[in-house]
Amino acid sequence: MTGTLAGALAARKIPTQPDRLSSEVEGFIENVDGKPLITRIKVHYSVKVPPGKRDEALRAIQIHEQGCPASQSVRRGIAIEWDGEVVEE
Amino acid sequence: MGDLIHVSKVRIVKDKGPVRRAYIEKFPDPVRYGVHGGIKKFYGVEPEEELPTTLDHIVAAVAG
Repeated sequence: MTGTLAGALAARKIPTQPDRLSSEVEGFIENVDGKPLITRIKVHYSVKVPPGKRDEALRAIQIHEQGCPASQSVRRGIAIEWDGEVVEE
Repeated sequence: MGDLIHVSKVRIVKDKGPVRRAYIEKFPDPVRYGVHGGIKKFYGVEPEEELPTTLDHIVAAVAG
């Protein structure tokens, strides 16, 4: 998802490196019928953007998951959640 | 759903081009993701360094 978000930000002419985009991720593994299964993945982004780009970055965060092949591949079995904070430099 | 057994914690850092690093909690060496093969062609990118994609890692993890 981070790579896809990077692409969505690049399309809006928002640079993502160096050290402008990162994410903290939690994958929740629960006992489901006696098996340890991944049931939910939660992604929290941190994005640094140039002045005036905050709204575009928030829009990219909002919609990017639809274009993420990894997330779309697993979301039928694992709930995917995400949010992000955007700071203008 | 069921009782929580474990929370997998990972930090992802975006590098140049399609390259990302994933730091899995308690393990100092990152797993690196990028593009190659059909995925590289699909996205029309030419990376400085070819690396396994996140999809490769999903496949490997399921099979592993």
